[in-house]
Order: sequence, then C-alpha cells, then structure tokens
Amino acid sequence: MPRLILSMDGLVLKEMALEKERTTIGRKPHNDIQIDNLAISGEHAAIVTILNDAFLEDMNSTNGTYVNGQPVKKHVLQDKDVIELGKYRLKFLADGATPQSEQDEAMTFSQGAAQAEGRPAAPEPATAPPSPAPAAAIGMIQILSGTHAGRTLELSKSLTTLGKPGSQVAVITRRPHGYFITHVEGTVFPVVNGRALDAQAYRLNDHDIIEIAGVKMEFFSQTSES
Amino acid sequence: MTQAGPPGWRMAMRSDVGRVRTRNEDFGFCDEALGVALLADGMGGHAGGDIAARLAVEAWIERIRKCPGALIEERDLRVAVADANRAVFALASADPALRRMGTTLVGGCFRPDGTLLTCNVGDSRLYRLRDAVLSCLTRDHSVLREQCDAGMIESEASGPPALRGLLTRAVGVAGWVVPDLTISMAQMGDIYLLCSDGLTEMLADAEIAEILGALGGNPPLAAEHLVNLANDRGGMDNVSVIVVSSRTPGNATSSEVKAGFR
Repeated sequence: MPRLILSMDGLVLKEMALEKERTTIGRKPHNDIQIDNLAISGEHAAIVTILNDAFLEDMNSTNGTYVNGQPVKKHVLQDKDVIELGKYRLKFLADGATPQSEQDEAMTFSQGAAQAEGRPAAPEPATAPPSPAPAAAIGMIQILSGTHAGRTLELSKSLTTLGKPGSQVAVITRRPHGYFITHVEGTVFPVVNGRALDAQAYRLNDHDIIEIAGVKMEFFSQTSES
Repeated sequence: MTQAGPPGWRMAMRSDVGRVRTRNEDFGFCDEALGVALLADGMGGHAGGDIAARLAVEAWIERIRKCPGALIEERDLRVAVADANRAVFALASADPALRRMGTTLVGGCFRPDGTLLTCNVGDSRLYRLRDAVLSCLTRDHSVLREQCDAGMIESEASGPPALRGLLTRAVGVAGWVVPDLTISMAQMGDIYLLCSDGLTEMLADAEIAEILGALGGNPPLAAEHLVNLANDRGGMDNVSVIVVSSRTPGNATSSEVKAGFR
C-alpha cells in the first residue's frame, strides 16, 4: 500500500497509509489528512489511489500544490515524490510493488501478518526507511528444497520470519547497511553456508545458503539477478 | 532462557541514546521474579532529566520491594509513584542546577493472580499485543492528546508541532502528582511493551505490532529490533523499550507466526 510521510521543517509529523480510494487533504477537520494551518485551504488537495497508482489533484487551493518544486493541478505520483502544501511536505512512497499473486505465496513465510487495532488484514505498508537512503538493493530468498523449491521471496519488509513455529524460527531483518539473519526460537539454530549460527545476528552476503527447519534457500540481492 | 514457573513472564530491556541526542535521559528496570517492569523518560530540555528518571525509578522500586509477599496492590502503586515524585521534587527544589527537572513513569506489575496492574504519568506507554491486535493500555498525559480528546484537533499529528512532547503531568515537577492506574487480565500468549516516546515517534503502531508478533517469543531480540529500527529511521530521541512475553521459546503458537513451511 502506498504511504505518505508528513513533515514540516524536516521534522516527521505523521506517517500514513493510503488506505482509502480517495484521501483528502486540507485545513478543515473533515479531511482525511487535516493540516491545521492558515496557508492550507479548507479543501486543499486529494489523492485518488487505485492499487499501487496514486493521482494527486489540487482542489483549487489558494496557495497551490507543488510536487518536487513544480506547481501542479493534476499529477500521477511517483515513488519518492515530494508534495508541498505551504510549509508542509508530504513524501509519497509507493509500495515495494510485489505482484499480488506473489504476495499470497509470501504469506507462507509470514511477512508480518500482525495488524493494529482491528484493521482488516491488508498487506502492511513496506517498512523501508523513509529517509532517501541510496536505493539499497532489495534482498531476495530463493527456496532450493522442499515443496516450495524454486519460489522466491522478496525481503521488502523490515523483518521476515522463516521456519516452522514450534520447532525453529529465524528472522531476516532489513537494515540500511544490509540484511541480517538471527535465530528467534527453537533448539536448532539456522545454518548458513554449512555452519550453525550462534545467538548473534549474521550479516547475509550474496549467494549465502541458509538452512532453516530442513529447508535450504539462497539469499541474493535483486540487482545481481533478474 | 530462564525457567520461571507459570505464568513465567520473560522480560528484556534495551535503552539507547538514539542518533541525535548526546545523553540518554531514559531509565528503566525490569525483574522477572518480581514481575515488575518500569520505564522513565527524563524531561528533555530540562536540566537533570537523566537524574530525574533514575531517582524516580529507584524510589518506585524501593517502595514496591517492601510489599509483603510481593503482592502489589493498587494502593502500593500510588504510594510508589508518590515516593518517586517526592524524591525527584525534593532534589529539584534543593539544587538550583536541577530546578524543574521531571520525568515520565510507566510501570507494569504482573501479579501472581494473573492480573496486570499499570501506573502511568506522562507520555511513555504500555502496549499489549493479543491475538495480533495491538492496544495501548495507558493514556498519554500530553497537551496534544488532551486537545485531541477534547475534539479541538482531529488527531495528535495534526496539532501544532510546537506543542509536541509537551506534558500535562510529570513526576517531580510539583509537590504531588496523580498517576493513572489500570487493571486488566493478562493471558498466556500476550506480549507487553513499555516504551518511551523515542520509539512511538519513529515507528507506527502497525510496525510495532508486526515486530512484537514475529519476535515476541524472544524478548531480547524483539527489544533490540525495535531500538534498531527506531535508530534506522533517524533516532530523533532516546529510545527505550521493555518487552514482556508469556510465550515460551520454541512454542510460537500464536497466529502471527502461523505460516512457515508445510
């Protein structure tokens, strides 16, 4: 799901997922995103979201809507576009863009099935750091053995759990400086390149072979393949 | 992993200065045997925030340790918070360099009868993850939260940024303070999180829920990952967390880790 990060003077005020088909922005309280500032019109702008595409429209605001410094009336939002309304900035982040079919498969690996406060179990927004970090390569896992052999899984979230609950669970965490695998639960520890890990996090390198709960898989960065 | 008898809460704490601040003004304490976790966030911008946090925690713990048979009653919590307040206020009044220091305080007592007693002053929080739903059991004593409750602003994030972090109650800034207390039933499978606002300012509730759900069976790892992620996002403030889990390691039966290889 695409997300917006609201900030002013470099201070992040709020982060929100574009959950609705139409998200309104303005000074008046009925807006989905209310910005209570006189430079913002009552109904300032709106974003229409269809799957992963988002369209920004200025609602004839007094002070205008800017994207990446250019005034716009209508604009198709691209990943990392910066929308400016008065002194406020809204950074648009498209999702990790996993095709829906692949997303279903990914659920076998339980990428964050947890949800907050009774919201429907929609795919969580990608948890890439909002800072414009140098476009880090996305890590991938390819399953090499077992019933899922051949499947790949994109490690787009801040954490991905792998394994068999009740016997062995490991987690791969995504950080700005790389991917790390750590043992979570169970008496058996994950094996990387034939060596069992200890309790410490292990930084994954391209083409590392991981073995968890009897299943072999290979880690690689998306830029090195496909 | 410690082998505590049932209900057997496992606890882990991490506290980090963050990426921007030079001093860590958070202070925490947790004790699995006592079933107690406590976190204080010394007031930023004031002198001696770190001193206030440590004093408050130590005074609170000292009072709680005196409870006969470790049976902690609501009254004990009120007295412990009053003790903490007195300790901080006395020093703040005596030492001009420490004037106006203060701290938040959030505590949880996991009692042998299966109930959880919490106390709270300020904007540090206590969350519960149950059946993949994250709930905040405490209510912030902040200007924005109160304006929001009063209907003056739509949400806390839409309020004037200048009011962010401004508290309406704190420990040690006046001669007395009233804590909010809650009581609830704790269940097997629950995961609790105490945290300073350095975490909740950097991470959305959904992300916190996801991390607790995935890593709750391993409290030290969950705590470490929460702190790391807050720092990866900028670490604007000190970030401190205490993760309390009833899950036994190797038995991640709750629904959020339901998948895996078949």
